[in-house]
Amino acid sequence: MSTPAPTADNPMRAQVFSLPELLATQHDALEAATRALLRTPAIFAVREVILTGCGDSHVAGELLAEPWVRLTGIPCRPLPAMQAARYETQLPRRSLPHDPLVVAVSSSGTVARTLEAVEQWRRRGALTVAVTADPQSRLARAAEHCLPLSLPPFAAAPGVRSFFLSAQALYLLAIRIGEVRGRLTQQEAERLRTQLSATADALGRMLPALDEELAALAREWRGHGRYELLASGPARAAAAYGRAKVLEAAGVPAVDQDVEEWVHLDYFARDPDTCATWVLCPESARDQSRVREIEPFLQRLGRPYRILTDAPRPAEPGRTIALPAPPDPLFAVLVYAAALALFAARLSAELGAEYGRGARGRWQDCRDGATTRNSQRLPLPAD
Amino acid sequence: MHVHRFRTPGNGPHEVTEALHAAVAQSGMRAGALVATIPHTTAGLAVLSFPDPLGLEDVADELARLVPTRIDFKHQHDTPQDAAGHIKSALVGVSLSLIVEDGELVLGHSQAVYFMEFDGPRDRQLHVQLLPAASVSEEEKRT
Repeated sequence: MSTPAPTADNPMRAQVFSLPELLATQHDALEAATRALLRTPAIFAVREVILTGCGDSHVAGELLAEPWVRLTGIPCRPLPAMQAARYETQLPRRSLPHDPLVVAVSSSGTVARTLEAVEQWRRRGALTVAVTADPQSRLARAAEHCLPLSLPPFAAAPGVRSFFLSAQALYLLAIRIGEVRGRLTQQEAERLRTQLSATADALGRMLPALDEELAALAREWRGHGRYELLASGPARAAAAYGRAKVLEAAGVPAVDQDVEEWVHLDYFARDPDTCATWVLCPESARDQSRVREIEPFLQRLGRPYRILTDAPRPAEPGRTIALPAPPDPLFAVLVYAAALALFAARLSAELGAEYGRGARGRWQDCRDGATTRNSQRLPLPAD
Repeated sequence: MHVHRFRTPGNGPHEVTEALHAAVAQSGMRAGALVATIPHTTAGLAVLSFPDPLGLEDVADELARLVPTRIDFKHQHDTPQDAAGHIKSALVGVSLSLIVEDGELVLGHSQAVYFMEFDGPRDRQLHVQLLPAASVSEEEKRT
């Protein structure tokens, strides 16, 4: 098991290093909670799933959307809370009991738009579940069901522990629904739960091994003014998470982009030698041939880049950061997201950046999350 | 005790007679009883007629008709198939006693022993214990 760094030194890095223990200690309680959350008839009534939230919580939905389809066999879409609350609710749809299942993620349970999404969908007859660390929060009370996250106190840093715990909860809930609906046998479901636990163990082995390499890269890239994180398929969400962490922790503009779309668009950006570029390429990814094709482009552009992969890549070893193979490809994105969070923590420390710009000066509006919590919510439609 | 481990490919009867024959042969026991039991609550053990495979399907079909997999069982800790499986297991039973004579399992010409899977596919076990008959004197036989 990894050794957490002193929290005063680098709280975000300490959060990353605490993940294996956090996920291991919360697994059983979360698994039990998913088992008791929904009654079987409700699970069988669901025809569509919407995973919603804001910021990291939305990214958690993006991370889990494909696994949800694989595990449950039910169509699943990750929607930003604004889209879920104010646009999707306006589209024509059949009105069926317990449908769609709207799973709203907010660690604090106080984010206005996510709360609004739950209020609007519940009024329309959807089955609503809040995934939150505060079972007494407005979000938890607004939803029919609450899947509580237990987040022991820890030094504050841009969402690492909350993000991974939310992802773990969403994985376990999908496995549970897939098991009840007969998509997975009980043995398959149990194997997946075990593999999810083993992924936490894999993080525990990976993080100390990567720490110095990522610290050195943060030093090397400390002068770059922007970041692009490229991936496709499920890994795209890990890229989105990495983008969020670089922005929040270090304040450096960052975007995530689909590998193919990058060739069509971002490839043309000026000053390529100032744009640090991550390419995420899990062994299970279906874009490996395309990544091989774009690597020469990156080199000719003079872009500083690294390829993050768990696949054997003997070519260009200096440009590759090797990750351990996950116990099951379904959970690979967790490994990639953790590596990027560790990089962002190192970059933030390298730049001496305050998380969220310290919520001071021009950023004072966001103190205590006010910019996301204090927002007028749409009135509920009349019955 | 002999433990036979196997994986069921799905729900329905899976013959285990050969595993019982093997346990008898391995023991060297000439006469006595064989007790077979399964450490499961969503499966059963039964003696069925084997010559017509459709007859086996009839048994499985009728059990499913009696206890269909429904979503409104009170037991929702696991799955609907699991809940129905518990009831079928209780109906069929989880153990059998058979006679061994002259080193052979005593079965009728159309009888075979089946593991009845109600929540498969799964890894399963069959436990077999052999109980030799007490030796009987000629005088005791006369009385």
